[in-house]
Amino acid sequence: MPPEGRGGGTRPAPLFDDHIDVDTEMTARDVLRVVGRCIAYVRPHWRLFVLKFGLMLGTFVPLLVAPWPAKILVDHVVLEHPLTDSAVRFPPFFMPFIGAVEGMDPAGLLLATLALVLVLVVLFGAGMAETRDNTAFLAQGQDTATQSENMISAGWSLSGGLWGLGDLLCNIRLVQRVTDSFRTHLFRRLLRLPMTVLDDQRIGDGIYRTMYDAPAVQGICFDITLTPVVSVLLAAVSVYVMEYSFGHIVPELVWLGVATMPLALLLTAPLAGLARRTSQASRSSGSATTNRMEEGAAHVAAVQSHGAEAGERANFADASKESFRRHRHVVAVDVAINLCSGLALLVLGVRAFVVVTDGIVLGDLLPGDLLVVLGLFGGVAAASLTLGRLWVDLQKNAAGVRRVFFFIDLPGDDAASGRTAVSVSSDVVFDRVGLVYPDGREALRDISFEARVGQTVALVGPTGAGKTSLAYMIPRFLRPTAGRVLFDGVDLGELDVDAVRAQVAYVFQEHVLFSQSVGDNLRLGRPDASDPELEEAARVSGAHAFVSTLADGYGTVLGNGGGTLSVGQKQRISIARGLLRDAPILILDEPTAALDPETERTLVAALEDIKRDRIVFVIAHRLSTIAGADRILFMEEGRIVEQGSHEELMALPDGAYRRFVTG
Amino acid sequence: MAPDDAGSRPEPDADLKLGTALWRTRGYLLPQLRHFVLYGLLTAFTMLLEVGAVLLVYDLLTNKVLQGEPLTEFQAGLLAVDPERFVAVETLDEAARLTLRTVFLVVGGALVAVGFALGTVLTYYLTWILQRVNQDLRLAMMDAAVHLSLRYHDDAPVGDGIYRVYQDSAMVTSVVQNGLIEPATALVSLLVALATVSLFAPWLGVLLLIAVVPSVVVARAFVPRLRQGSARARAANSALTSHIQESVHGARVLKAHQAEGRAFESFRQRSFRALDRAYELRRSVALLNLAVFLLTALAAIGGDYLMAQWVWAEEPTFGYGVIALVGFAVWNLGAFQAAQDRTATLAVGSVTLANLWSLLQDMGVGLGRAFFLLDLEPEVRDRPGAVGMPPVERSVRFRDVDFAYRPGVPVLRGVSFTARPGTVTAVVGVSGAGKSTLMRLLLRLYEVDAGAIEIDGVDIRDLRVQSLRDGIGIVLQENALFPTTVADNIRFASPGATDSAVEAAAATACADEFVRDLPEGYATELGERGAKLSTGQRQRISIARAVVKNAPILLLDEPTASLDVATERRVLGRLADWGRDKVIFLVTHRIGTIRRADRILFLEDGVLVEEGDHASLMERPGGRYRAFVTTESGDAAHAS
Ligand SMILES: Nc1ncnc2c1ncn2[C@@H]1O[C@H](COP(=O)(O)OP(=O)(O)OP(=O)(O)O)[C@@H](O)[C@H]1O
Ligand SMILES: Nc1ncnc2c1ncn2[C@@H]1O[C@H](COP(=O)(O)OP(=O)(O)OP(=O)(O)O)[C@@H](O)[C@H]1O
Ligand SMILES: [Mg+2]
Ligand SMILES: [Mg+2]
Repeated sequence: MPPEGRGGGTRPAPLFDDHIDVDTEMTARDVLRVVGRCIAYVRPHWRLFVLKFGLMLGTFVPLLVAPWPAKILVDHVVLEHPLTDSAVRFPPFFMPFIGAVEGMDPAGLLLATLALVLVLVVLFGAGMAETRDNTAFLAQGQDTATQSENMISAGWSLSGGLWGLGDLLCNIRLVQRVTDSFRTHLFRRLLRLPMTVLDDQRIGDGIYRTMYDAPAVQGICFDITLTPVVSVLLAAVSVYVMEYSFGHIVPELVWLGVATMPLALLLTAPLAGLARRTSQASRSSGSATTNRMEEGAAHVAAVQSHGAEAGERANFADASKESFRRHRHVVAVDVAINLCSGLALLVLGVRAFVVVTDGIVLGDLLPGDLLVVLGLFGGVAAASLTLGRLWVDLQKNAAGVRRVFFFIDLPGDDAASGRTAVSVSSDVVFDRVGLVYPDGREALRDISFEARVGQTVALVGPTGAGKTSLAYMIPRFLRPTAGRVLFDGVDLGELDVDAVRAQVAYVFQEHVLFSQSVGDNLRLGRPDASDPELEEAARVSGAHAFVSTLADGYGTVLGNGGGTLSVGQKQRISIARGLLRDAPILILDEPTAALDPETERTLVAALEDIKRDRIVFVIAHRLSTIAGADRILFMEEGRIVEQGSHEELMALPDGAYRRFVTG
Repeated sequence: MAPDDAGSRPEPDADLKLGTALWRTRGYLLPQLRHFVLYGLLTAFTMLLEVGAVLLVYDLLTNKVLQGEPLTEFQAGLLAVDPERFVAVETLDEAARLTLRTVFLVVGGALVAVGFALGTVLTYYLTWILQRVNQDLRLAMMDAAVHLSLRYHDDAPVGDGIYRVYQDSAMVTSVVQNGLIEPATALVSLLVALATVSLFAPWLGVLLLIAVVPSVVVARAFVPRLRQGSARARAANSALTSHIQESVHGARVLKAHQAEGRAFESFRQRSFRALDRAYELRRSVALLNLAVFLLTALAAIGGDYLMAQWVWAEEPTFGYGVIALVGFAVWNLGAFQAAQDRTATLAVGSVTLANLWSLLQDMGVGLGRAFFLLDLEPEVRDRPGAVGMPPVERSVRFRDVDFAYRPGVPVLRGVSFTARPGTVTAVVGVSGAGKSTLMRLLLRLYEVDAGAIEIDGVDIRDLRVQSLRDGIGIVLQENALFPTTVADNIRFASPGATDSAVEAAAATACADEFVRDLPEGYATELGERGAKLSTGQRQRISIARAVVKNAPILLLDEPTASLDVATERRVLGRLADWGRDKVIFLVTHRIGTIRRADRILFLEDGVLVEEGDHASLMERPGGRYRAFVTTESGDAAHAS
């Protein structure tokens, strides 16, 4: 079971893989709030909603009309009773037809009635066979994730025929659109998660929430809009039809039927929390399974290299088994809920039965009325039952929707907006900057320096010194926990994040490419770059030579994550990508780690040229890369211990840099 | 930003026949046969209980309670009621009828409750069985996936694997229901209805049959549409999954390049496309249902017309003359209603079958996609009679090895060399020369195209793959860390390693020093892809991982690229001490490190152009290695 305690000081230990979204409990008020928010996703699609509503209302037509032609066929066609002899009143809406066929002989009446049936069949699929619920459910699996595909494209119609088809398709579209709005919103937020959150966010979990949690939204939207309307209308139709056919409804039965709702609510409500928690656990464990799969597939080369296939399989087996088990809990709770609402039905059904049989035994009702009159109760009760279960169903879906809202609500790195007019024309200044990571590790302390346009600044220091952390603050991947970073004298905190990032081109220490063409990969930061610019950047980074040997040159589509290139080749592409971005600040994190000396030299030479109207930050271990920098910041354990040019620092007797470089 | 769904890759199974796909699932269904049988028996029992209940109490209710008929002696005995009041009377009095009603309620209520309870338990049981079926298939697929050739994985988006293992495999759970039970039930009730109707009037049967024929034709004609629709919907969803995977994985890069907007746009397009495809598939399903429904319904309406004529003419029914089955000698109201009821059953039955047909097509496509993964031959597998890894006492030898990832683009050509235990062999060459490829071949991630790799004189193709890889420790050029704890990451390749072995390995890799400072030491979780460490720290965890394996061969592919010179020197020094008796291969660009190697292999464009120790190679006038070192020398002078 998920952690019970809310708040209470310490964070509950994460179950499964969740590290960010750990407090999964919801109060009834939380549930209601979430439900309310879901409606917002229907609003953009209100036209479709209105259309669905109209189509849905139309499906009641056959329910009302269909019994009458059937009756005419039996009584007036086959048995040849004259129409005027009917013991039963035809309802007013059926009178036009009666008027039209009045006076026909049975043969004519047969044709006319069959014609009407034909119309009803083609239009509504009704009038002859029992009407079936019209759905387009496809086969699904036995856990929450594998049932979501049907939820995304869920649809139903009370009728068949052309109308039913339209109703069904409109329904599917509406559900899809609502889900689409919801999941695109989530995805947009996922892309804006702050770096420190990304560190804890599993990729598989992102997939799970977008693909399999988001569809829960439609369940909620429908439960509180169409479902109640349909239920009430269905109940009303039961009563109406009864009234007309038999003239004698037993009001008590209607009330008994209606009473199913509060009773079912009363009986199932205690299970609502359980329904939500089991659903949440099923989703969390499903996420964990997706994570295992994602890791296994993404690291398959490493898995094979280490001969760890068996271990990967076992990990996955455990996770998958657990998620199946968690889903069985959901099934068990469902079963319990069914039993409870079944109990409500049974209790009231017995009462209804007693009322009717009393009437029969006492002679107020005829024996033949039993089933018909009980049918009235059944019709009303079925509708009420749906409403009575609403709360449980809402809670269950709320578990999925909450998981989506959690990330929608999580402040992204674009949370604070500010001035957007920024351009770095003179300098970048760090003013007593400190950084403590969320897990309490202090990575930087009291960092102060300034870098001017036209300078190359090298960040040097042993591994783990904090070079990358420092560089991350310039494009505001990380925010200082102390001090300020300034562009041209303006605190980055006052600027819009996107505006800040527009000033920076960042080449990461580890290279991630996308499985697009080489050209698209290069243009990631500047989609409108021209071909010559592209080639120029590739030449400088030493990528051009090997790209031209690829089958389709810049049009070659890279494999998974760039996996069809050697690491050095990937690195050169990622450097070219950064160069092409052409921003006032260029940051290269270990650009030469995987480069051979030849390429490195070209690059270092090119930097001389590039830095003229820019600030270039280079993080490097190789002396050949740093020696030419205008300014070297030598870092150790999160501090800048020495700064100056290579010559200045080498001149310091027993300087830390000097020791570092000479070993 | 995986390729879109327009058939991203040709699939040999694209036309795996429905029957074949369903038949192949037996391997996963049969192991649960016992449970299926038990489930079937219990279900039958529940149904019998219900039918029995109805039969038992039906008479009690309709005749006795409602109409006041007296009980039989037997019934009275069974219910232990006074025969005076319940049997020997003309009609039951009110009190007696109400007593019987109570009996009815108690007995009927109890039966309903038991049946319902049993039914719900069975629901749970069935879920459990089907999950086991699915779990087996998932595992088989996962197993296949991790063993598949990297050539496959190079191009296969991660999300596609996820989609196959998750969504496509789930189709196996519906095979029994949709492929066996439901069609059989529907078919039987359809045939019974048809037979009954024909007994009333053969012409009616013929009329309905005539409607069934075009239904079948339509259903067949829908097959390509359905299959294509399903394949497209699945491909589009798989592409969407891959896009999410790639985008979240590359979220940092997207941020740095401010490309979130474009990634989002393309998500929207893919999301829309996936929904469109799902919609189109469902529309086909609904259309087929409607078409079949209309066809049979038309026939049924025609039937109504005929039957009305027959009632008027009081025609004799067909069956009555032959066998007294029909129960109606001539067409009358009863016959009309009974026959109408049958034709309705028939119409509903055909739609059910049509719907199942669509579901099966979709399942077939899904299963085809699942089996596709299972059918791919892993490139590397144990040969019959494969043996265990030799102790590596003599040598690791490459003999004229040729290799190409893609036909026509050779990556290694005629590479031959020998490495002996207790030596360090440096592999040197410009980026893209084929150094990492060399390591991969030794691990047998790919098979060589020509030549052979031998360990102690045994061709590695004659070794068991697992034992070969168990005998090799490797530090990959790109760190592959998992979001588990430090200790678990180090243990990745040797799950049995003790805590002290893990710590010793970490010390050798110079990882101990920073791991100890982590908030929870070795129990600290590293975050996604090891994100909470610096790159140099990640690299040292990878080294510790190889060390703890303690295998006779050690492959180090740029193990220190992200380390500063001082740390690098310490790490390599300790590694050298630790691995005195091992065969060590070291790929690196750093001259300071290279020159200490016992032997240097200089690769150029996949050809081993020079080989020897540093001193001898430097003596070669105009040597390639020498030129390489000279370029690097500025750095080397300082760094060494
Ligand atoms: N997301 C994080 N959460 C917590 N601590 C972190 C995180 N990222 C880095 N650290 C820690 O902060 C310190 C500085 O890391 P950083 O990546 O800045 O080092 P670096 O100088 O770039 O090292 P390298 O040369 O190895 O890349 C390290 O001790 C590291 O473990
Ligand atoms: N999976 C692959 N599919 C196709 N080609 C590949 C694949 N992996 C590598 N290559 C190509 O094979 C050649 C050799 O690659 P390899 O990774 O062995 O180079 P390397 O010497 O290790 O280079 P680096 O120093 O950059 O790591 C390169 O041209 C590369 O593009
Ligand atoms: Mg770093
Ligand atoms: Mg390599």
